[in-house]
Amino acid sequence: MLDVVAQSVISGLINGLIYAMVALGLSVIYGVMDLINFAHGEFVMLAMYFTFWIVSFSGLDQTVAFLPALPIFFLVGVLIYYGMLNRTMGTPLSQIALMLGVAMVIRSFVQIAGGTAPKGLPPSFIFGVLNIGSLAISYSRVATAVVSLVLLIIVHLFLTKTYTGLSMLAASDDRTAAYLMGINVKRIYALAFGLGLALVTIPAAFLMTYQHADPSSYLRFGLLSWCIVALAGLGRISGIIPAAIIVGIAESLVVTFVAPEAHSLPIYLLFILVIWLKPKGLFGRK
Amino acid sequence: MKPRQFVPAFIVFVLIIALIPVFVGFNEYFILLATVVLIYGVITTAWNVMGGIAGQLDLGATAYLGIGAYVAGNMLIWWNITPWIGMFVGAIIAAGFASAIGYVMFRYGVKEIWYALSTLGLVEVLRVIFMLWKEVGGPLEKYLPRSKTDPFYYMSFGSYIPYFYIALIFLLITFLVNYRLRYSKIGYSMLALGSNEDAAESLGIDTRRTKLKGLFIYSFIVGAFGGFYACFCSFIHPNTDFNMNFALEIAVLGIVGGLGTYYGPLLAASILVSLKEYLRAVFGTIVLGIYPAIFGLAIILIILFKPEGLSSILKNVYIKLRKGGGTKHGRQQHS
Repeated sequence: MLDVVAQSVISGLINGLIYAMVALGLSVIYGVMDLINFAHGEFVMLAMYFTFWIVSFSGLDQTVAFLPALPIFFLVGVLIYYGMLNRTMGTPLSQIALMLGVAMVIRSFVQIAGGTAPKGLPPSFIFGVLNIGSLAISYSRVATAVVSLVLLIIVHLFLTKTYTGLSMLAASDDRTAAYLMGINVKRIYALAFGLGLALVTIPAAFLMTYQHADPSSYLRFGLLSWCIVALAGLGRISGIIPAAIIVGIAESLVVTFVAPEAHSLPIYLLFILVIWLKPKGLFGRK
Repeated sequence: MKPRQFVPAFIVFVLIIALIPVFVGFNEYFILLATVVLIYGVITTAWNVMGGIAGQLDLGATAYLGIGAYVAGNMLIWWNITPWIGMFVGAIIAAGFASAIGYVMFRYGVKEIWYALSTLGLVEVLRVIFMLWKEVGGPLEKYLPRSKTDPFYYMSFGSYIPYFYIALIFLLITFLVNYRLRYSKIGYSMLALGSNEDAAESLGIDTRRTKLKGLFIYSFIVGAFGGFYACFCSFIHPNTDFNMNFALEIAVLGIVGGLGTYYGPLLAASILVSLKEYLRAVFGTIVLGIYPAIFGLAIILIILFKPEGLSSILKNVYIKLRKGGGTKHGRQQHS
């Protein structure tokens, strides 16, 4: 019994760390631009398909397949910002409808270009199972969790130590004040949106080391990321890790002890409760 | 449109829609399409009370629709009670549920994006609960009993024409509620709330009460419609009734139609859902999955080039017509 609990908690922890990386891009976009990106799950799915295509055409390993996808996603993000979002700044409802339109286009694109069959890849160079006593975790998940931690630290350092990152935080705190301090807010927003989309490619590539992509993958990652961002509090990179771990462990315990198909229930219940009782998030700023 | 001009326009509008089955030559397929458009129209128009007039982005339309569908459906399956009664029971339960949730949410000041996300989460929570709750839901479709001898009692008709007219009656009621509300005291409170909540509160509007009233009306209509929806589908299933994408589509149609009007959402639903169904019929078999892309593009283009919504086009046409007619109201601009 204890073994089952330990196994469940450990795999929940690892999953949580992976979810943290998935939610990171959304957190940057929401934190900096106050933009409700309803297409986040779709962008994750699109990046997973990109990984699949890149690996199957070039024979690269999944773990490095994000390298060509990353600049493409960054550019797409900048273009979407200048082409669409810039024109609707300050009207959040229009932006929501806009992002849902983008989401529909992506879903459709994935179906047309990739078909409806699930796309899986052969194992990457990281494979096998790590055994600690009676616990077993696949190396690819452990590797993904480690990458997630490293990426979160890099993004955190970028936001708090570099000039561009600090400008992003300033623009998120007070747009007008940042503007008056000589920060080009439009450019910062474009960069933040590009960065948020580019950050999706890395988790997607690592997810493809042990998962398959299909046209409904977006369902799994969209609302999940929003739950993590809500728990973490507005744009807090450091809050993402504990929030994602809570989500991961809650999900894993419910899958083990209640029912596998109820896996999303604890997440959304937690999410709704946190929004009601602590709208600033569990780890948000006061 | 001003109240005094509303009645003739409304009668013309009702007649045109009511004659659709005649125009399409009683072709069952086209009547089915028209019914689907009406279904979207009803839910979007009801959504407009909360989302458009009161300005609260509600993404939980299918939570209330699903509750209504499940209550009416299960009453029919378990106790053989006609959906005409089940509809009202479903509406009361849906509205009670929505008010209970809404009371807590508005009490804790959940608003804007967090209100949107928690209502969306609600849909998914209910879907999973009904998926696990085997007695009333479960992962298998539960088919509603049908009867050839008494189709009216079971609301199981062999043709789509009765469904079309029931949906049309729903639409008329919803539309009239919207219209009455839009020009009532509570409607003006809602409009004020929608444009600036703090300002509305400082003017003495009880925002929590106003929001709750809006939510009650909206969820009651959608809950009642859920009973019809279950009979129209002839089965109940968590993925059909508690559908997150359906709820999102409703909100998008409402936004694209133009917020704060009573006819915008209906306009958007009739144009865009017809477009979607047309694309599905024409391209569905040629290129799999292309119609959502065109639908999505249409939404993007409308938001970019008509940010105030489709209703603004109609409004401009109306104002031009009035000017051309040279009546005494010609120069007034009103919504």
